[in-house]
Amino acid sequence: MNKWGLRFIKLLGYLVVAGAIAFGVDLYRNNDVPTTVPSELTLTSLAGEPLSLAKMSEATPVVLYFWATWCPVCPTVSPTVDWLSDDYTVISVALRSGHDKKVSAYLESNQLDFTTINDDRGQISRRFNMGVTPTILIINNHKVTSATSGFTSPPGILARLWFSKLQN
Amino acid sequence: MKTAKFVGYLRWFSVCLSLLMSSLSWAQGSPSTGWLTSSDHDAVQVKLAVTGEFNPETRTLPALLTVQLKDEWKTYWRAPGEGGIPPRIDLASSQGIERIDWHWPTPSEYYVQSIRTAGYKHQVTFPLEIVVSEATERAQLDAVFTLSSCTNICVLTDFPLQLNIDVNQLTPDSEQSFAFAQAMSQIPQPIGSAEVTHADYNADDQQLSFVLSRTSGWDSPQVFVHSDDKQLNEVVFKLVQQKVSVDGKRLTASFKASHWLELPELVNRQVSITVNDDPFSAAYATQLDRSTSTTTNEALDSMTIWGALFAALLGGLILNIMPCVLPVLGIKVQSLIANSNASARQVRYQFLATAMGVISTFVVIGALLGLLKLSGVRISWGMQFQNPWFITTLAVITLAFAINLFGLYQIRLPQWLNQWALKSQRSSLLGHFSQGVFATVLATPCTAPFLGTAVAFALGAPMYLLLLIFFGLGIGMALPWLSIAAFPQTRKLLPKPGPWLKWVKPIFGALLLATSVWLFTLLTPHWSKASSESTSAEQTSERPWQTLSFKTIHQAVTQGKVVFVDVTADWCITCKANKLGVLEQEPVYSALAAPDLIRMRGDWTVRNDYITDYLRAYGQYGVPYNRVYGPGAPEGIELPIILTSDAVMQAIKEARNE
Repeated sequence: MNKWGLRFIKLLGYLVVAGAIAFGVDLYRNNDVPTTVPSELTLTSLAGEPLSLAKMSEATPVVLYFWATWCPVCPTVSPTVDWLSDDYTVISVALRSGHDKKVSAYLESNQLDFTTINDDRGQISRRFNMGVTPTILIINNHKVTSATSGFTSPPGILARLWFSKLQN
Repeated sequence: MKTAKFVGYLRWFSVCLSLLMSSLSWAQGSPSTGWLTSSDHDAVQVKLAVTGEFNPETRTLPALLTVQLKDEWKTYWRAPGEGGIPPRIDLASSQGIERIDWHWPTPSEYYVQSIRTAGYKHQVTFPLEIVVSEATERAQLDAVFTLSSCTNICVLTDFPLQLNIDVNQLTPDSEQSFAFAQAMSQIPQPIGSAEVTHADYNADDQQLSFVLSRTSGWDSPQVFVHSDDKQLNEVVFKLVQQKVSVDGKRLTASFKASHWLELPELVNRQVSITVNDDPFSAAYATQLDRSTSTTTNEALDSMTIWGALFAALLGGLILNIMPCVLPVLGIKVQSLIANSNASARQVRYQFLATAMGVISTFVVIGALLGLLKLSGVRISWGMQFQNPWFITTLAVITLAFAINLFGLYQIRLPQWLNQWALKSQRSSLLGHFSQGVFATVLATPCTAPFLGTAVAFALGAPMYLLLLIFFGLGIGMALPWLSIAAFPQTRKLLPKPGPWLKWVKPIFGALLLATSVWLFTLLTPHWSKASSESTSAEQTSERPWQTLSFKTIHQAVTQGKVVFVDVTADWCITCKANKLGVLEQEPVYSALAAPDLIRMRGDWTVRNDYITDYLRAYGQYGVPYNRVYGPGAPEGIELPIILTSDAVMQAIKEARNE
């Protein structure tokens, strides 16, 4: 085998190890997150449209993004999620970030187009045992297949989406 | 008997009940919540304790709210920056408590990638003053303390705070009282050794600019802004370019204001500036003045590329006849006359070479300024003359040229260059090209009519426009050479070369030598920074010139005085010409000595961000610059670059409201 082949295999090895660590960290960080989404749970977006996460996740994996206006880390992740929302189903939950008008204004001024549920009092987040922002859950066919908090890179989220599809 | 037993039980029960009441409900001494933790988030714990003191006058109970954060966890200041939320107490179902006044210790800045927040790490103690309602003796605190904490994730945690306080039952705890006094001493106060010398707001770019000066100079200060004004409650102040700039005693910081809905008017509003330059920390309340840059910026915004290009051409052309050209006059004249016996073809090439030298130098200067701008440096026209290394290099080159002209020695080019140059007459072309370069480099520190406008437009424009405008400036300045190159016969108008040229050479040499000496003298302010400050208050008559200060201008104008501002630099010959030709001549000299007139000078010889900001406020990027303020013109009247007695006298008259 030539030198480049070896390098390629090495690189692949690194990626697998890094992926495994990330996956392990995900599991460790979020062992409280429920494993399934209750099928009766229907939420209402800022625009007023009813959303059933479970139902939506039957057709395609759903990215559920928990964020907050008071979270200085979130602006580093939100644009990535917004970019994903062009091609994937993305629902975001604004955790205890104030009234609807304020959250809408925040989304608009930061040019974020994803569908958002305003969880003003933190009740929805509590159902997911979720107090940490930014957090990205991936829901596939009623099941929470991945949960990750903190910085997440675009390839990181895409890898998790693919992984979620593989599991199915 | 039975009754007696029952009464006994009852008595026992009532004793138990009262014991329970006093121990659980109405605690005596100095009640504390003890350390509170949350099962959701074990990285933080909080404690609220009153000191046991009560001030019946103000009805306040001093208390300490201590927050402990593990590892890299942070919580936030009252104005947390872009994101983050300050810790807050919701009184919820408390009884007998009017409000809680917070005191905020000096924060530190933290960055999450490019997002700046102000907050605290490890441990922070907030001194609180709990205000008890009128005619209340037993206050019941049943509140929720909401604390946000972040690492690379953020958590909002609610802690129930419950304390029952009977103001008559309190006994001061000396340890808590001391801790409270200590915590209060950490709250930043206005300290006299530093002051806010300038604070303004520009509605055009929503920017607040502050200048703070400190007698012992700044080290690595962090600056924070907040406002207690209720209407500015949700305004976020974002530090521009993520840094404050320090120039010795002077600190400059700009903040961009934003609001999630609509930004309220900020002019004349009260804001507070907190500085943390460990161990120094202080806070100053200041009112925001209106930034004076508004009008000029509007003029610039409405300017088209064509207008700017035309201004660039004209400005470049005018540069040829500005006093600034004096040091290179010798070179220029020589380049014109020494070649008049060459063939038309040769002349065309030679003049084209000089023009190329001029143009390419402008483009290079433009590119360098553009790159500096991208790296966040405050750029300006002629700023290279604020650099001692640049001046030294120029002085040495001029000296070498002068000696060469005297014929004392011949400059020997490196051999490879010599060989390359010898081929096909490149020698003379290279010489002409470098003459163009040299003339441009030496003649460009001062601004000129139209040039200022073109440069201001260019420096605010994207890179390709910046280069285009500088290219235009180069064409403008090179126009005389270009026109001779286009019509070589015009050279006949120039004096014919002859034996007299032999005598002219040493004269040019002497001129160049003078230039070199002048350049060396420019280095003096760089040798000691202190001397440059004293020159700014240099004495031309009985009253000294004051150092440029926005604050003083505003104060003087409100007192009905007239302020004459002169921004100048030692290397700016046009400034010298203005001084000798107008400012120190009658009638201006006497007018400036009037008792109700304050003369203010900004010496830009060495880099000074405050003066750069002053110029920038009026859309200017170079010197000379003069402006007159007064009751009749609080925003000031801009004077022409080349001063005239009439213009100065007229402006003073208008400013005085005569």
